[in-house]
Amino acid sequence: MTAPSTPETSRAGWRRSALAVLLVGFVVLLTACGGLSADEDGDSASADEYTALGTGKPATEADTAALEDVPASARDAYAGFWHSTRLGPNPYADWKPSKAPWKFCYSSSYQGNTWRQEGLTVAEGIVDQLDEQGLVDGDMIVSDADNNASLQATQVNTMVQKGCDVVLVMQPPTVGLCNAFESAKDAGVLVVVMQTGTDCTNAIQSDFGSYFAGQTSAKWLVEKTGGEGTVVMCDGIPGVAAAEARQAGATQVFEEAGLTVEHITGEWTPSTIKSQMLQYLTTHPDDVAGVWDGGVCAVPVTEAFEQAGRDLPFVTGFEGACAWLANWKKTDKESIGFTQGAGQGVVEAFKVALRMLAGQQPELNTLLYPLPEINASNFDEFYKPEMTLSSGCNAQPLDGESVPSSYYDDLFSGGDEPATFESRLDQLPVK
Amino acid sequence: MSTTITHGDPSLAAASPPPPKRRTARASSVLVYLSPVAMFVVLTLTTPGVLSTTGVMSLLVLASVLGLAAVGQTWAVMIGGIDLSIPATIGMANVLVTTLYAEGWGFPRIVLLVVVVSLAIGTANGLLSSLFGLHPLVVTLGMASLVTGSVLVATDGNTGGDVPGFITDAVSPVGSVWGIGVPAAVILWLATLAVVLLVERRTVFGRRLYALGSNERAARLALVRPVVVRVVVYSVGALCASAAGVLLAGFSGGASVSIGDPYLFSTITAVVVGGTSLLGGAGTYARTVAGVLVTTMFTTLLVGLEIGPNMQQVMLGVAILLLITVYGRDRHVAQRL
Repeated sequence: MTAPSTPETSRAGWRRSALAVLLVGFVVLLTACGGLSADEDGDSASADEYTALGTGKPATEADTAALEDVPASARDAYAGFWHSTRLGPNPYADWKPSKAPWKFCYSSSYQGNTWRQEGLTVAEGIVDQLDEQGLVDGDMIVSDADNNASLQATQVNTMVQKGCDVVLVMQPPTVGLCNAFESAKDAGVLVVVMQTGTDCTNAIQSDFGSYFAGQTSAKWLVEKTGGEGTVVMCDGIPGVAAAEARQAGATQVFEEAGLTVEHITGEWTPSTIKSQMLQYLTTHPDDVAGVWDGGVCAVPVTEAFEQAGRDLPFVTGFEGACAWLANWKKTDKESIGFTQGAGQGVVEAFKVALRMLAGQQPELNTLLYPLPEINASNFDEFYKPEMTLSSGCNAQPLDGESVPSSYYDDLFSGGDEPATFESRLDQLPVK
Repeated sequence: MSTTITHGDPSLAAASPPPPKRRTARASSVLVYLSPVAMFVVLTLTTPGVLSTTGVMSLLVLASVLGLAAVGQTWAVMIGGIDLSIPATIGMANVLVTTLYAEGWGFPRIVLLVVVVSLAIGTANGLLSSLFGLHPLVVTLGMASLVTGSVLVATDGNTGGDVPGFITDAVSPVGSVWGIGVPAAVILWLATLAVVLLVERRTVFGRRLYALGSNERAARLALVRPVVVRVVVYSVGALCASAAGVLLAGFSGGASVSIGDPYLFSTITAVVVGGTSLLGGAGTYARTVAGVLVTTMFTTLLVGLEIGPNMQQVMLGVAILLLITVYGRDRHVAQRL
């Protein structure tokens, strides 16, 4: 039954329509400001030149062709790149850097843990060193978006308005910031995305080769298990490109070796990992040959095995946490991992930014590098007695950096010698 | 206050079979308390390994942490509110214990501080939602942000630390208390269950809890002071959430301000699966315990059946919808007259 139309109901309907128009107008305004966008496609002018993001998918012909174009000296680190990033030409090819001093800005998607704090500490240390060389204009502007993509986009826009020459973006979401990056690029601001893949093709990316790292630890596990039995993969957050990339690398190795693969989803959260592992062990009385760590898993997985009264199998590590090294020492069970602290990621991003500020240009939009490996042969060099199972720190590269500066020589061309700095990662507290 | 509702001859009404709606309510109660048993049978049939002592204790340890966190959510829902500050309170306690213990604080001193902070959080939640007439959803959401932000400011994001060994033992499935092979976390949960049920069923405060949830205006006329009830409810909730946070420090071996995040969804799920009405005025923590056991065993079953994480989400959603369709359709108490 339809209510009869009265002047009151007509007015109410009119008001609702007006409110809807106002809301739509507000959203359009926000979009115009670059804060939000429901239809981002990165750099729309040249999006077709880039490979598509293929998280969890096999390589396309375009992916294979793009990989062949990567300089041979860096190709290993680019293996499986399509799982976490898009590859194509340098979006800043026409960009002319301003003369020093430069204003550096640091946009973090989240700062609420020790790992993120390490990244900021290292960034501040590098800016201080560059300031001593007269290369820095004022204090570094820092923002924390509390995992809110639209807030981070607004913060990047604000940084552009405040005159930043370089915006270093720590682990933004895969999508959601492309418009903000485009606005920054249009304003002549260099945006370098660190430590994660992005769907945006209008920023420079500096990241480690997740797929390659996943393959490396999986190969070790295949060797230790003799290629027989069941391997449990402790996966990260489903759908997150960085997690999916390393998992894809490991899966390929396990499948080729003929191992039975089962999964738990730890979501990079120790309490969730331990819950899942306990539930797995409760429901799977058969022997487990090994556990592959997709991040943060090694310690809670070890505890779950111990508390379930089961024999500890070979368990890989990943991010080189101090707690994992302490766990290795305690159990005396050989493992493998990498150094993957936020600080070393910041160091690589600064190397890239300083090269571009010196007029050098990368051939590609994404610069991937391999992570230093921690294994039985170098364990004693990484382990420190003050490391405990509750430590929040990360092991640091023995050389103070993931790769030497010369690694980038084949990936950049032109320009002058960049400014240099010391990483000082060895001065970070071990606690 | 006058009542115009009549049921005819009382003696006749007593002799008659209960009306259909009351029968439905009773049937739903039976179903709620039978569901953990049914789930356990399904779990043991599909994954026989569960029947080991370690297997059962593993389930109970997981359930105990969720069970403690869900005390506050149950009572908040029973008085017609909700508590979104539980995850932040868990994170606060988790970080305080680990960081202060690493700095050399004695455990009793840390517990005292956690209790004081928890009471402050609960009192603020209760006062703000009562005195200013603000919906608890908004108040507790704001409180969650305030607590998490304060912890991050205080620690500068460096939330690592150390965990007392006995806390780790308390949440170990092979842990024991006074020679009894039951982890301390499970004992603590059972003790909490006994106290909470005693308060609900045998105390004046318990009656006031239901009265406030049923009809605040009528409760006021019956001399119930809503502000006091709300302050107590949110304080008890914060204390229990903090206990869960301390146990999680031992469980995960470290600290994180966001360690409680999964417990927002899971505590509400446990309450809903237990059949406590989100409209308030009805329900009991005993139902939530059934909900805790069902959800813990259900997620274990999904892991046992090797169902992927995305499909686990789908299955959990379907299960919740099915369960509340079966026994979660009760109308609000005030609408049943």
